Amino acid sequence: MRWSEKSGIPVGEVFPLESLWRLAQMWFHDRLAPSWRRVTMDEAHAVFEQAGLTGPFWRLDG
Amino acid sequence: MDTMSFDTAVRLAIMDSFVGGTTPSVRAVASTLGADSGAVEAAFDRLATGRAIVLVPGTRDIRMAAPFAGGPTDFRVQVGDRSYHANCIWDAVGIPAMLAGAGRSADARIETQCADCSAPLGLSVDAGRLTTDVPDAVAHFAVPAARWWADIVFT
Repeated sequence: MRWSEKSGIPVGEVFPLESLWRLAQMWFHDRLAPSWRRVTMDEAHAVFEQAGLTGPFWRLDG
Repeated sequence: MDTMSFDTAVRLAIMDSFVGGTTPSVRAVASTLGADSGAVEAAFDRLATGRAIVLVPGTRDIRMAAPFAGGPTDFRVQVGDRSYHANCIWDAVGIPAMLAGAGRSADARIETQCADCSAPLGLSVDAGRLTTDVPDAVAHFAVPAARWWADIVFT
């Protein structure tokens, strides 16, 4: 990727927009609710997995 | 009101202000809640410690209240007659996702640019579906999840 060569920042993860949309829906659906709280690490991992985002890049404990 | 309930009220006042198109100050939130500014300042600090918001260092100006950005960014989101700025593409699509989750009108137009070729890139959320103007567009995250909060502004 050209931006990576120009910036010197390694390419991270590239993934389909369908996964991005699923991730955003699961992550933000309750953000305006009084009951919202930050997800736990396990809950975050479950959200990533349900969005099809798996592997070491998506591990918060990596 | 106990501290946790007060912080929730402050957080919701912050989010409501952003939804209305305004980045809220301590004074504005205090006025909305009829609360003491010092108490709201303390709530801002606790919310920042709990990563519900991100403050500009050394101030109580809101840099981020995900999915909203406190100032202009390269991720612009239009919902009806409201215009928002998001922190990244995840947050940009997160704005309509959040509004839909709250049962609000969520059809949105997102304008950004391709990080690779700098070409304008538009996305639309229409009736719960995300589409792009560029058929083969993909999403990219540069920073691994474990390091997101090491520098959340860069992330």
